[in-house]
Amino acid sequence: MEIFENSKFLENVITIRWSLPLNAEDVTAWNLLSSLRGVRSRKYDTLQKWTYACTQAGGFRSRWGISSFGSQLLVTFQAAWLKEKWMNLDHYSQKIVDLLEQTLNEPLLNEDVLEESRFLMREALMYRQSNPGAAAMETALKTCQKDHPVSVNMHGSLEALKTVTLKDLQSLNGLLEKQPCSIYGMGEFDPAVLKFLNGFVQQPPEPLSCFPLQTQEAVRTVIEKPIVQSSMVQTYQSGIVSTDDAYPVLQVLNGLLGACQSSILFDVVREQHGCCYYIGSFVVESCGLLGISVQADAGRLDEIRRLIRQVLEDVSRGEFDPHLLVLVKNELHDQIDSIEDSPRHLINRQFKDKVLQRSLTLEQRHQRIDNVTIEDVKKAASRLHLLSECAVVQEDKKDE
Amino acid sequence: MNEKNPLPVKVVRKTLDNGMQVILLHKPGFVRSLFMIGIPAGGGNLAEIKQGKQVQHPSGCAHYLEHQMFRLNGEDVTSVLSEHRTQCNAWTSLDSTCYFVWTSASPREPLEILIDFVQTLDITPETVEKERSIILAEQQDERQDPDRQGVLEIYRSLYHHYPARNEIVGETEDIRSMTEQDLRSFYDAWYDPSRLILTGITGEDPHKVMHWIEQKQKEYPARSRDKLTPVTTAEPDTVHRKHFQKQMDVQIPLVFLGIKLKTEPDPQKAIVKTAALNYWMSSLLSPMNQDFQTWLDSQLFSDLSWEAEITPDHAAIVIEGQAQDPQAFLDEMRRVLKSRMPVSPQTFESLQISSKASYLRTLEDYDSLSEEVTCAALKGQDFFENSRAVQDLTLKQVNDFVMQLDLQEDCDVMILPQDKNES
Repeated sequence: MEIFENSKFLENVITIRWSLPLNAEDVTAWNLLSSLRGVRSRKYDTLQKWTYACTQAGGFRSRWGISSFGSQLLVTFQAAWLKEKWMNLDHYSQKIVDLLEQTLNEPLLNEDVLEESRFLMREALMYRQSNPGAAAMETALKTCQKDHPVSVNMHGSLEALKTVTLKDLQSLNGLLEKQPCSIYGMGEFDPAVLKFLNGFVQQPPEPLSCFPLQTQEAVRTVIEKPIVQSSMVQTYQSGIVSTDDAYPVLQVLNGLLGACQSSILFDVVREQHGCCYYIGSFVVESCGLLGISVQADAGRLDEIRRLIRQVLEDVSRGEFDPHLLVLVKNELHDQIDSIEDSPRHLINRQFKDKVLQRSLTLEQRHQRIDNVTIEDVKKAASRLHLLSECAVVQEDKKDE
Repeated sequence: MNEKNPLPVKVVRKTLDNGMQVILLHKPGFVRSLFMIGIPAGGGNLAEIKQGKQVQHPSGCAHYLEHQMFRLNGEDVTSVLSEHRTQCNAWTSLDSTCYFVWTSASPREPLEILIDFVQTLDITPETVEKERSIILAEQQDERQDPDRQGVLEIYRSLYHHYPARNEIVGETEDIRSMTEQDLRSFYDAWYDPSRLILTGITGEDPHKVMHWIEQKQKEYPARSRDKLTPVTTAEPDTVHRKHFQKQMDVQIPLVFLGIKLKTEPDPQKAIVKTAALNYWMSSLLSPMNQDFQTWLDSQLFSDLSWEAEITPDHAAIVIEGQAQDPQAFLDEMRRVLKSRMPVSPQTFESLQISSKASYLRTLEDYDSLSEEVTCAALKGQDFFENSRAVQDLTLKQVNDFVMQLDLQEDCDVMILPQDKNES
């Protein structure tokens, strides 16, 4: 357990993570388990009781969730509660320990709760399918490389949802309860809370296993829908993953292309050509995927594709204002420093350092960004290889 | 907060010689600084009386101007701010426009750049033209969003004239014909320093920061302190339309129920009434109400949210649900509202604790805090006093208020899946 004493923030925050092998078939069931663990327990067996208990404990907040990290499935529990001195409530620490105990050790798993969670998840998935941006993202990731962890839809699927049984959830819950976890906390903790947390079987987080993407012939998908604005997502293989020393190069390239406020895609596609309101880029660090996402009229998608190609070629030849690199690095430096003001981000940074098996000072974090050269960026850009593209377009406006 | 633990944010205020109000919130030990300048006009400001004359603006003017403001001395100000490890953004609401910068580096230069670019209009016909297609694309992005469209349509149902019924981004024709002169006219009316609020949240010494601001603002004397009176049309007590349906690419219907309430002319009383209304709504439409479980068991909805506000110029409850059976959802929501179930002592106590916790969390969140403080100040109010008034509410006040609510004027909107036969 890593507890960071900190008097700066008003809240205490803890994060508990369990690491398990990522298995695509189980993702929907893990989602269901996460959602039903967060709203009831054996003692607080109705939504009403759970809600009252949380508010009476000073607005105690907790959240269960799952995510993928390389080949691992991470089940994450996060809780936050205001420090006792701000709330002046009787038996405050006992109430916090009670809620932690209930949500972590006393889940209520029965058919009624399962059916409620199944209904809510089904409708959430259906709502998500209506969102062109989400649909484009999911399809682009799904098709970027068959059987790669990044192609697993971590939201789950409607088909799998129909078949999950209570026994499946009990089985996954049993796995979770046997699995050691890693605990991180930031704040000023009552000894009773620490004693409770110490009761868990713990182990340091597993080192990250990265699976770089392989090149493939680009898979292009077009989905027509009765919508008024189209969405397109492209995915590229960069060959750089977060365990590589060269990873800051991908961070800088991503910022330069579309993740920072002074980015080339924003400048060229939006500002110079007025093709869209939104364009941006992102990375999936454990596999070195770089993605580009845009919302625009379908009639302009071909022009946008051409402009993206041109930008990538220009960057790979170093044909861009070198001062942009300074501006992007400035923004990354600011992000590094800003983490100091967020207990959640500080905890996440500690966790990430552990799985990447590194220990960096603030100065070293900045130095890694500063060390990236134009030559590094050119080289990384020249190696980008288009893996997939999905365009969700307005009906009757398909431009291919 | 209490005698042992004073407020974790120290507040320093000053009204400067040019009339600008400055509110600085000191967060000792924090590395970030955020500065926001608020303008008391937004997408709803389509006309005002100035020196006895009526000045008209095209729809979308405030928003179009917001897009154009990020220029200074012919340069894009985002790059200039990036030089100082600073990011920037802005938003336009119905009644305000806010620009903000944030950084973990030394805040003086970014603060001065914010002041310069908001208090200097640097536009040309070319820059206005260049922005047009971007704003039209933004308008389409918004029209794609079923939630946003549902909210807009319920406002169109609730109100005959109140500007919430218009798109903040503007009508297509107005965006297509927006001119440099339109934007200048809006800027001249509303961007005078005497009308602006500058809010800062910083770990720096607030007195030092206030001194920087005072020095800088000497470059921007007030140009006009004329009273501006927005032109409004009296809003009838009745709703504009009872029922409305629209088809979009959704798989599950989105349903909106709007209830038009009586406005409250006294802004302070309006704050208290809004708080009482929200306490009641929370007791009705959250899991604290035992009916909530029955609703989920019967799959009445899979998502439920609401907003409720009473102000001097508009007052309404809007409930939004994702529901397979829209009519059943509407019937049940109407039933539960009209039951006027009072808030129980246990629920009231929980809501008070939640309210206090939510207030404390806002103090830790730069984005929410700057927005809350600035928007309250733009309305002539104080965020901290408003919060205190909310926390001082009694159970009797809440339940007495609920009993006298007039809930007769209601309307509904359904965003329905496309009819496959028609599409």
